[in-house]
Amino acid sequence: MLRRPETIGVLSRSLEAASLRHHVLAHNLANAATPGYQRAGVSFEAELRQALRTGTAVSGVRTHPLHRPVGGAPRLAAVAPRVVRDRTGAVRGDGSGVDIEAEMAMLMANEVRLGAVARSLNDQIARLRMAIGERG
Amino acid sequence: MFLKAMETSASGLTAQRLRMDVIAHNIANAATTRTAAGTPYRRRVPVFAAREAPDFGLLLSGRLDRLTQTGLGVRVSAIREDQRPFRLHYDPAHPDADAEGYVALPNVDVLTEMVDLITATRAYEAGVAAMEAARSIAVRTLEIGRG
Repeated sequence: MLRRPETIGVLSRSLEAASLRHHVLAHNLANAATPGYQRAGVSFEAELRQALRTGTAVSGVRTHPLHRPVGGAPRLAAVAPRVVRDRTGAVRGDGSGVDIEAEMAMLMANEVRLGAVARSLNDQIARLRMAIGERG
Repeated sequence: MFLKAMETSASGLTAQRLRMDVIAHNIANAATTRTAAGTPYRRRVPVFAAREAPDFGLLLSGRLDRLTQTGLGVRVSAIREDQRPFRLHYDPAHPDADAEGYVALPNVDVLTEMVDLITATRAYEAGVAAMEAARSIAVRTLEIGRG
């Protein structure tokens, strides 16, 4: 179980990833007719999952800054969305590597994902507010 | 961030719009046998290039590393003339016919232009949808924490 500030941190990172992905997909769509253009994507979720999996309940004590960290909380701060060029994508006859339908599908999926993340953030903040006593 | 995404989509819309203008110009001149240069009309083709150079705003915000990779849309780098040969049509009565009675017609194929027009329209629609999505996610992000 993550501590609350960490949950909010991860959620805001996801939000960042979704907004970056939207920008990248918009760029792909804008270049749907550009010869030789290779589509780009954003990698984030798989890396976040990996980081969450590496976290352990027991952690080693570090008595020296050069000690390697053993176990402990997942290092979520290091997970950041990255733009990746898709160089393997098939190139259409006109030389563009963009498939409008596939990009639109990703755009819609991204919008839904962002909605979900925004809702969980709202829920987290609502619980914090309740704890502070802002609401009866 | 969302404003940049909208700009990116807008650049795509501008490019597709210009492409449609060029296609309309080609179709309008599909039978133009004499231009100012004295030759039949040559088909024009817009050349698109991805806009990936950093701009000053990104330099200032210090997010250059990531956003230059993202790209900033598309621009029309040139409008070229199609260098394929003109179509020859036998019509001795035509004022622009040569000594053997052949008229050189523009190298515009209306069918190709129509197909291009449909592609451009679809790309334009996709750009509009992307822009609407940008607005909706921007609104949802602004609503975070407002109760």
